[in-house]
Amino acid sequence: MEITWIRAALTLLVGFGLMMSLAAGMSLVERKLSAFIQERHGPNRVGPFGLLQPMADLIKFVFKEEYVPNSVNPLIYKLAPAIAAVPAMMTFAAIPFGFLDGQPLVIANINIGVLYVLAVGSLGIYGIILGGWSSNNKYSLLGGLRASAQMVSYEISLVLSLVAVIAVSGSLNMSEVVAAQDHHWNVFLQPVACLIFLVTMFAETNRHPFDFAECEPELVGGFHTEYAGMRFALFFLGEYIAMVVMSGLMAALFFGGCDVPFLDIADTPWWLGALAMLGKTAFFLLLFVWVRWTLPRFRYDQLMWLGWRVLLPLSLANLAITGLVLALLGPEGGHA
Amino acid sequence: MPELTYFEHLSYILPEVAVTLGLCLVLCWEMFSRRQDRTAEARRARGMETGILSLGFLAIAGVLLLIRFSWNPATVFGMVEVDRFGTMFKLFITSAVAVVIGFDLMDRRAQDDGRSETYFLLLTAVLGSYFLVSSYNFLLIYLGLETLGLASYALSGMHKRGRASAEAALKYVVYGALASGIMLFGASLLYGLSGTLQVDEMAGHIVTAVREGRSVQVALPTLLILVGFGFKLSFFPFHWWAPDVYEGVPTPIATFLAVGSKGVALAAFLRVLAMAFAGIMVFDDPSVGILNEPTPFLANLGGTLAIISAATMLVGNLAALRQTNLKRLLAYSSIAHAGYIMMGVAVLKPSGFEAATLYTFIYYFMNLGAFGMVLYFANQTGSEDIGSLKGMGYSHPWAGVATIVFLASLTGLPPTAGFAGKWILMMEAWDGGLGWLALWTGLMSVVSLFFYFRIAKMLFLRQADQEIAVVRTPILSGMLVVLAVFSVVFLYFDPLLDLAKTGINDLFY
Amino acid sequence: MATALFYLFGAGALFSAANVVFRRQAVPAAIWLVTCFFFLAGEFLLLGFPFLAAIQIMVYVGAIMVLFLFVIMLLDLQAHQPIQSQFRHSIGGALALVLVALAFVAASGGQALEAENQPAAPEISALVEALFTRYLLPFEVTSVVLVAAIVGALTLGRSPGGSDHPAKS
Repeated sequence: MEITWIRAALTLLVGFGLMMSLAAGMSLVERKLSAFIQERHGPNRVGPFGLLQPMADLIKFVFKEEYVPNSVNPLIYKLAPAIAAVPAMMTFAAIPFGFLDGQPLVIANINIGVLYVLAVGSLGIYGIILGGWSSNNKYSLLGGLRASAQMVSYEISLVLSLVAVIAVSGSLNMSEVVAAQDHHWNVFLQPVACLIFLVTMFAETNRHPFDFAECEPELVGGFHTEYAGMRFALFFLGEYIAMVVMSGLMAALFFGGCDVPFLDIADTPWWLGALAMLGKTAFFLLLFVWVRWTLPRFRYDQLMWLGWRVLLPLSLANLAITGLVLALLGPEGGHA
Repeated sequence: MPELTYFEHLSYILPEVAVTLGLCLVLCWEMFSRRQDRTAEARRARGMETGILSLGFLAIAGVLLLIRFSWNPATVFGMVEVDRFGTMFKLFITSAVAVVIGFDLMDRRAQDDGRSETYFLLLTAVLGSYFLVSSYNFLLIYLGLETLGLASYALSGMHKRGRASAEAALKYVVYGALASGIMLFGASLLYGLSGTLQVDEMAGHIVTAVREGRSVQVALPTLLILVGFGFKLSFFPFHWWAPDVYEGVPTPIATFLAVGSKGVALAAFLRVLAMAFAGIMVFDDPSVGILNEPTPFLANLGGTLAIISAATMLVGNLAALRQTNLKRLLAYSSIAHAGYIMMGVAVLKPSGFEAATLYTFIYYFMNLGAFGMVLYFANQTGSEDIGSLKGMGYSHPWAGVATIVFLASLTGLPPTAGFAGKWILMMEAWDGGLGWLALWTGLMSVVSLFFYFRIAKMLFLRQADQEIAVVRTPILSGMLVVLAVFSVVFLYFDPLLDLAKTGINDLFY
Repeated sequence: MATALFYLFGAGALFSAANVVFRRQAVPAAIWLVTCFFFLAGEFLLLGFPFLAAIQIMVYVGAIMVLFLFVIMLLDLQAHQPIQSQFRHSIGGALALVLVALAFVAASGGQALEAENQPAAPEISALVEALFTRYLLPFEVTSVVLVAAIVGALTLGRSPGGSDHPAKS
């Protein structure tokens, strides 16, 4: 009994630490990389090469005044940042980092892990919507409005692309999906689904080129115009953790998770597997930054057009073809 | 019975398949044909094409249904009963919608926008009705009801002719959603009682519950389910949406709501009642004599239905007295007729159900005719006001005479089928111990004489204010005359009564 | 423990549902509906249907309510106008509530209505199999319902006489 508790506490601690450091590291990497792309220096004053910049940022946020404007709806205004950050943190629990003695290295090995991630992950949007609404500010409201429309438009394609993956893998358990990808990653079996997921991943995290909810040139800061201090930081954190989770999902569901090329998952040492998973996740995190500083933002009607008239039919067709092929291959088809 | 393969199952629901194909085709036709061509003529032509396409598929479904009529009853997909009762009402809705589409094609005031969508939605409603009248699984019944409902909501809201119409559509949706929600609640309670959604399997639990004196457990869900059907059948106190909606929508759609959707809702209601309560009903089974002892539960259910029936007649007929808009008047008239039909249901015996079914068929002819009459005269005068009919009987003799026939039949006057149907209903009520209801019906029929004959008076006993040029609409006049002939011929109702008997027979034995 | 949680979630769901009705502003009412869905998902979890719980949150909370909020916010841009309601409506509602509650107490005969053959919590595969064999027909009919709803909504939403492409330039 006690072993289980200690183990659970340890897992939580390690998982939480990993998540936070990834998110914090991400904020630094983003600035460093953007500086590199734009031929600037980026943060380089705090600590060696500016490595302690996230700490400095945190301290700044903590000591800033928690200002609540008069016109806002106080309860929802204060709640919104937490609603934005907590679901993102919760989804991280289901990302598997490999196998140790056949046991999955994951905080919560949920039987319907993929569904769990999708369900809880879809809640983060409420933080943005409610933050935008409760601020009682036109820009914020528009930001929230855009976020909700965008979310509804892209969520369906995201889910449908994952359904195809689930159909191929024959399980809703993330670790089993990873295990099923031994030697043949889903990206090769489901290239279209991977592409759709890649696009919707950016849309779901409200990242460039889909960052219509904040969109500085048009909406000042969008939904977080009225936020400052730690509350703003929570929005920020939620976004970064969502990026980490999405990258983790991408790595686990399409790129074999802890699978190292040319090695059996069973034979891979656990640390190598975890490292492989981390490396893949880091790659997609970098991709987020890379895209942000490379591509221009969409126009709003282009966003809707892409979501409804390209991605949705594409993901439906992909799912239909996947189902047809699986049915033709019989019960032995796919990985199962 | 040997296990059927999937395709054998499918062969039993070929009419459903035909309608599904038809609605897909109508949708695709609208989507892909001449998308760029948005002129009024092109839209009108497209409406005509899709209308004829829909009529074609309805004809195919009708032929398939006629063929199937001679088949032995069978259960397919574990929840659809393919019997003559269902097939009868499927033919009913198919032909009713065919007439409605015909009306719509002939409606000179119809907008060219959204005609194909109208036909698509009508076909969807037909499909929903098919499942509604033949299923005995609450899931499928609900889905059928909802398909019919969604199509009806959209149909009633599509023709935005001003605020009143939009308001009517909104009312219809909101209260319709509430009614189907309440019905689902009732079904879930029955599921809680019996652990199944199949009405036939529920029946045993219901009988046990009633016999053991736990009849409240059955009564509450029954009442809740009654709300759902009551809304579609528009009987008191769920009737108030009907006048607003009928007045707000184009005449063909009102025809559909008054005739088609009411008929199939009645069929489903009868099937559910027969399946769920046959075990406690008191009636003469030709093979074994009287089956069951009367129970207080049954008496209460019958009494409730009888009171609803009486109240519905009263509300419908009294309110109709003061109407000046023809469609509003017919709406109240159709409410009153729901009351007459409910009288047969309230008897809670196969013979009562037969009378209700028979009256529904007669109602079909005379009400299609009455709404066709509104359409015909609206085509001539551009108005649906009762005053616009002044002296029209002389310039339009055929339609005028046909109208008189419909009105006489709706009132229940002797040389018409309406008289026969009402007479049988009253006899059934009298025999079933509801003598007061039969007398009440007679009284109400006298009341209805006043408003029906206000129309007749306008047609023939008043002079027209000004001359209105006669617009010749031969097809519509022909349809009216045929319907009128039917409304008289079925005074000799034997084949129709036999039909109703066969259907109800399938339902009970 | 499970029973206590069951009643806790049930009370929470009821409380949230009551708040949906009594809130004067649309957005807080919608948020209370979201909370209500959460409590219901919790009930599903307790009853051993994690799949249903996840679907409940994903579909209702994650998609439908977001759409609701979108519409509310789209219409509510001007002011946070409270929803008007009349006293006599509240009286009617309360009366209906009491009547229904009484009817339920009477119907249950003082004891909980219990399904006689309560099904065991199925695996997802069993759920799917039932959906595609036993309930295939309702499943297919549902698709027709949805298509009808989509066509109806599109037709209702189209501006009269206008083209299908409002913002194509």
